[in-house]
Amino acid sequence: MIGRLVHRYRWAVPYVLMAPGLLWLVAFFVVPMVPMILFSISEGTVNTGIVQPPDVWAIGNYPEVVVKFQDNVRNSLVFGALATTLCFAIGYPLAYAIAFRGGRYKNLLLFLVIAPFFTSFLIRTISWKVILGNDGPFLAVVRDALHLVPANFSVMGTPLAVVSGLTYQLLPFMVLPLYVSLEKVDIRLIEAARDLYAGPWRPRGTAIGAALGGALAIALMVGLRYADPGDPSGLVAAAGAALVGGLLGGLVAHFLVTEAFVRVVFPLSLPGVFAASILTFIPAVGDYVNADLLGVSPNNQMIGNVIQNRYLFQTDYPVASALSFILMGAILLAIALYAKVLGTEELTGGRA
Amino acid sequence: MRARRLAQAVDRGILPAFTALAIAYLMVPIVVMIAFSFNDPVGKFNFVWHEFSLDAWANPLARPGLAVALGNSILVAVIATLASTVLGTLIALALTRYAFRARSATNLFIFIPMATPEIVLGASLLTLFVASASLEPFKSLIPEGIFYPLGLRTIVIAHIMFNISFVVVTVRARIQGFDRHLEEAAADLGANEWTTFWRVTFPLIFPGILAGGLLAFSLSIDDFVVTNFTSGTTNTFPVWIWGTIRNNLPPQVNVIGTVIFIIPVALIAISSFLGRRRAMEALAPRRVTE
Amino acid sequence: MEELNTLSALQAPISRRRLLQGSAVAGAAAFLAACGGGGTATEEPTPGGSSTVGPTVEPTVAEVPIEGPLNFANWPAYIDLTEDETSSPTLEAFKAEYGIEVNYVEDIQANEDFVATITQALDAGLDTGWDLMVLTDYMAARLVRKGWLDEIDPANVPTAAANLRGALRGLAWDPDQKFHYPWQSGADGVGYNRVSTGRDLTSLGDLFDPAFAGKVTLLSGYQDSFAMIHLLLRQQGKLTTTPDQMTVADAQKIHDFLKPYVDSGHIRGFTGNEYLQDFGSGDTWVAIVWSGDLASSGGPDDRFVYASEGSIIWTDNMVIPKGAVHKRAAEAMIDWVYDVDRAAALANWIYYISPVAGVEEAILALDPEAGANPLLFPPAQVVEKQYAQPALSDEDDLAVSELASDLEGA
Repeated sequence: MIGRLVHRYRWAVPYVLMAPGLLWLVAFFVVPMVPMILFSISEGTVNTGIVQPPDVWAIGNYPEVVVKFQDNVRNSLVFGALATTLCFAIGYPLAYAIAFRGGRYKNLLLFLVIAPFFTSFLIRTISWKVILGNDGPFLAVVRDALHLVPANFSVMGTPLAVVSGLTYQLLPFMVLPLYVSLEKVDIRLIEAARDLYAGPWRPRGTAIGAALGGALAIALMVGLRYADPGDPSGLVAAAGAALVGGLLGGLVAHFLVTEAFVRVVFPLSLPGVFAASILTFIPAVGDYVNADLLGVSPNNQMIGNVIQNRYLFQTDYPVASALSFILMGAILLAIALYAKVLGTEELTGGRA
Repeated sequence: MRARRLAQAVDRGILPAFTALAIAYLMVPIVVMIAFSFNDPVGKFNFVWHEFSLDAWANPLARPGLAVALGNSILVAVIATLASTVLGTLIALALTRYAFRARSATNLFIFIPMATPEIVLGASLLTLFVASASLEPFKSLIPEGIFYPLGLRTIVIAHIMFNISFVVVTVRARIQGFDRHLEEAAADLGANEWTTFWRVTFPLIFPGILAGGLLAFSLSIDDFVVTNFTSGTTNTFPVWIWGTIRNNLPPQVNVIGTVIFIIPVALIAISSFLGRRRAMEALAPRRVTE
Repeated sequence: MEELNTLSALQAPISRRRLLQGSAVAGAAAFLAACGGGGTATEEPTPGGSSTVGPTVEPTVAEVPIEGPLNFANWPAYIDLTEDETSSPTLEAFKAEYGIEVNYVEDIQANEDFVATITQALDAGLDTGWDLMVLTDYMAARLVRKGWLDEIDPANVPTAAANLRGALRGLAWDPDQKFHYPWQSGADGVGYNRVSTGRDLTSLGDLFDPAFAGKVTLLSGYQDSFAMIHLLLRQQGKLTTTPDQMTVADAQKIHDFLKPYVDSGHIRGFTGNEYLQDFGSGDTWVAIVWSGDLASSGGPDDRFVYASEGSIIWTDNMVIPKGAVHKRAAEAMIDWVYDVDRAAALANWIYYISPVAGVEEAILALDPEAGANPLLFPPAQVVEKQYAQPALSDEDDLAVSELASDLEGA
């Protein structure tokens, strides 16, 4: 009976499935957004009085805030991208290992990945503050015992602290979707792939690995402001880091990456790569707590900090909401571009 | 051939080592937290090791307001996780298994709540809740007492809202590229749609649902910003902790953190030891990748 | 089953909510039962604190009964606790006296954060859910200007009216205590780690010692840091006004003075209470801090000093938001904490300055050593150089906030 009904109105099935969730989002996300959109083209603050449309149409808020807060926009994009890349570098091998080598410890390992996130964010952040702090064990070893960094080097209050915090914070957002898409890869496909492409992926893989490693090292040096592109000594530092990164990347690719993996497993995990990067990048770009508690310095503040500050302290709802919508628009644009680069809309759209 | 064997040896040694390192990295603050739950701190900040003590373990909930706040948070997280996992999974199924006109628009729409700053989510929802009790047409449309005064109900509403997208994206990644032949085979064997779904489809996508639920739970139990706007006079664990940590960090915080961590880990560890036989199937991939 | 829970939580709002509020409602119900459903406790605590136990006085027609639960929002670590820190003697005694529950939530981390969560309800004329909340002067004054506070009935707070310190009376924003009674006062000073700095600090000028480059933080917002730097510039002859008279032009000078130190990284950042963590990890050596914090929560080498240039004093005030349902209970609480002995016990636990006249003797009676504590008893030379926080109009507040934001990078 039900089956026949379902068959008859097959076109309606997806709408029925989506209805409860979408209605929820419309009622509790879309409807409340309407006043925010109005605020974003208003003038004034709550404390001094807000002038709203139709009395004023302050579309100019949008370009104004981008120019005024360009440093924060840059920080958000750079820190978000670096944290996502680092999460991927740590998370992919981890998810791969759990999916294919986890054995009966699969669930336990998976749970250990997410478990830190059942405890308070603040407890974790404070632990890191103590560990990475000026008097903490990390610097005691790296700075005081091994002299790997200059004597006045500190972690807290630098871009490194913000990116480290974000990376730690968002790692499970990377690992879980990667795991679920790797885990479903059909074993028979891998077997077939091994028959077809026996052996490691070299020498091409070695070169690609070295290039990626070098590029990541340069991105980290510049993005974390340890190397200023305009400064010759900074270029030397970046080149040195690129050499080390390239060597590491080359070694990893040379010894660990097989052709079967590159040709079969990795392409099959692409939907997971896409989902995982998005799930990591979005919260990273919008974050404000890491920049606040670990970044400390005015130079490390991100867009989220501006929104927080404008909304709460200045009660400047127009600027806060205009910035929010710019942030949302930028993220959606990034997703669309990323989907294009990674493949087709199949990734965002699935396939019928 | 010898080179290949070397590569395999490196591979077999390095991947587990890397996994161990990565897990250790994730565990660092947890280890610190557990260790300091046995500390008897000198000042109010449980930062510096002083001496071993079981005091905090003897009375873990002995802080005013803590028990109620913790109970509220767990209740909210459980309800919001279950509801958002169901709603999100349904959307993910529709998006991946059916072709319909609004699909790409819906796909994009799902990302928007995730991209919205928390403070905007919280503040705008508060606007709606307040309007429901004070502003036409909401006031006459919405029965009194549903959205205002604020409380556990409004926190749950908010948490379901921000969780749905995370569930959809996680579950969708699992269903994509899903082998439809299995379902067709089941249908050929005479199974109806319900049976096919529950016996074939659901078990295959369950890991994705579980992962989505875990994400939702971790987002919910630790949310401060959105909850702050929607909680009214209700106390929750993050509010309690953000407040407490301003001026002191009692070892009880570590005890509670430890318990929240240990109980599920122990349950999962026990079940994986007991479920050895079934786990043999899971060992299969290992043989193949070598 | 769980889905059913979700549904019932949404569909049966009242019963579900009541059920979930647990102890608060249970307590109120027990009280109602005890009073035969009447709930008519109306007795005033006698001034001086020697109150009788239990509701014994018959209600008069005009009087509103004291009903709970009292929803009380306060700052963290701002209430006395028993030795095992399981409950608050002040609150427990209040509950026992009036037979009502107190939902005491440490919900206020910052004035702005908290007020943002109730602004919309107040603007719409709705009950915020809170009956009593504690806000710093400038924020309490803003709410008075907005007309968002309920008037306190003087007849219901005789103890408070009698015991409030003279120095705290007659403030411009509420001269007749129509809307507020102070909870506690505190001061801004210089905090430092004695081991890291290698010397004792005495002045605001020490914040800018090149030896401390990159190890200095200031408090975010302008109410504290700008006011303190105001004192420094006044000492140097660059400003002639006092911090409580700060103008936008003064603030601009303060901003211009600080900007190079921010750009060079000498000032590593602007924080709230997190400076406690930064002192703990060794990343901050010197900071502008709130009195009491380092003494109660800092490490053994952390020191607090009133700067020689002067200090900023502020007061957190109990106020009743417009439309509060249990206003009468809130008034009873205001009156309750103005009893001298209770005020002494409270101040001696939380290390801030009580607004109650004559509390000094009572504190000394409790704890003879407290007399030497400059946090509880600021010396005369400190008191004469104490100034209130800036009091700016909403327009000027916006301009100065903008200057502070520019320094803070957000």
